[in-house]
Amino acid sequence: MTSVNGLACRECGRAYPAEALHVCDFCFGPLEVVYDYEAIAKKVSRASIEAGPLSIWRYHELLPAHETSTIDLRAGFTPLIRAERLGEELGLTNLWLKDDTRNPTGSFKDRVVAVALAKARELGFKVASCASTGNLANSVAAHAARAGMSAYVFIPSNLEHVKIAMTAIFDLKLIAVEGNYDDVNRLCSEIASEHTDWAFVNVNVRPYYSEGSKTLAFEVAEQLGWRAPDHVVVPVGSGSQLTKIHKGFLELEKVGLIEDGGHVRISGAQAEGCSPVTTAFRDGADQIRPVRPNTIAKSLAIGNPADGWYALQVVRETNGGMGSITDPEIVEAIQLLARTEGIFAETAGGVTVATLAKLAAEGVIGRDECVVAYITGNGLKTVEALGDTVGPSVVIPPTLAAFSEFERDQEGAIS
Amino acid sequence: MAVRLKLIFPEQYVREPIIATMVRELNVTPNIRRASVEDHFGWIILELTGAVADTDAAITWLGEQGVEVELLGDVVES
Repeated sequence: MTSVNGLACRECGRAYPAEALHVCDFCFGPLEVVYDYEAIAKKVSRASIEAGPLSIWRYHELLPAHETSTIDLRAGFTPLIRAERLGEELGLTNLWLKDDTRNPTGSFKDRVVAVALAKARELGFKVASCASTGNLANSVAAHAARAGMSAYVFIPSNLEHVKIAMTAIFDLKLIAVEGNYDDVNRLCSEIASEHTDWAFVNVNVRPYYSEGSKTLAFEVAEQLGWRAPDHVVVPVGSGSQLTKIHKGFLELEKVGLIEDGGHVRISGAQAEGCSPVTTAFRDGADQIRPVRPNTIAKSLAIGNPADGWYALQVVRETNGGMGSITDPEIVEAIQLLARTEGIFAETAGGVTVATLAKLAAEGVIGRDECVVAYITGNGLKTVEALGDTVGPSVVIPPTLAAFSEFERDQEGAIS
Repeated sequence: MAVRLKLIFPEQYVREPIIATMVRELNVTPNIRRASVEDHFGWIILELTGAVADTDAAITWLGEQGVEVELLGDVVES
């Protein structure tokens, strides 16, 4: 059994049952899962978690789905890697990377989708759905296949072929919609409100979906030996992930698994071409002004972030910082991460690493803080963003003489 | 069709009866759920019901009056 009390409105606090609801009828505020932490504290221990599966489901007591309804593609429990070489370049002595490129479909979305569809199955839904420009579509398609659920996934018709193939392979109804982002968004809003018999993962089961991101905090604390880091750097698209990582650290402290969850400083990373939260942070503004995205970091390109305001509050309350990163800086940071640590990240990872570098240079991140940067997606998903910045060191004819000449040039360059 | 919107009124429009004018001129029904007037702007979260053509027309009209219109609940994610 889970220890979920129900849902509550984040704005007015009105209580709702744990059903497929996402918006407060009364004030239109977003709904959030509410737990009985006293009951959870009695049930979980470090040992009980350590004996669990090597996936997000080891933390099932702190997730809103029943253990028996889990859909296990082994999402989560990804490596936490000590990044000495990158740390040396950035002047950080205690830097760690949460390598979420290793998830089943290559991004952190597997965490949220696994939770959303487990809950959807529990609520009796037979059809999974989403509207996506990439990572979410991949993950919903794969998890629905694993669960034996039907899936309807909506994508913009101009999506790159690789992204279409990575979803279509899972044999689902893949609907390519003509028009711009706003057209697709509007149609999908209408479809979601028509098809209340579908589990639209980021609409009617969104409160459960977003809870999956808490596991990014749970795992980091466990992997650090059951203690919280001093500082984390999180990419910001909708802002949901950042707020849930914060919630995750707080929950671990509430149920007695760590002592210092409330002290984690949380910083956010945005692309300059879509940085409404960073702009509000820098201006000291009390609202987020929507923007029209223009960046290679497509997975963060949400101009009107649903949780942007809440993310801004978390960054301010925890004394974190925000960065905004240009497209060339994103590519440089992807290369820096690959060169120093052997991890190939998608563009969102470039945004995070570049923000980490900026905040370290500005002194927002202290030299000896225990810092964790979240690398949330695999570079194979956004190879096109690298353009011609990568390629062979040299092209040679098939002769030993040609290769020897290349070697001599290299030696000359080194000396 | 019902759409949930956040309307942001820049300081110079806070005193204008824009919602009342919209109701008189366009065939839509607003249902206000939350609202506030801050230091330099005001905002209203409301539901607008009517035929799709009418709610679309109302959104366009609000934009023309200088009101920032945000659709609540974008559903497309990466």
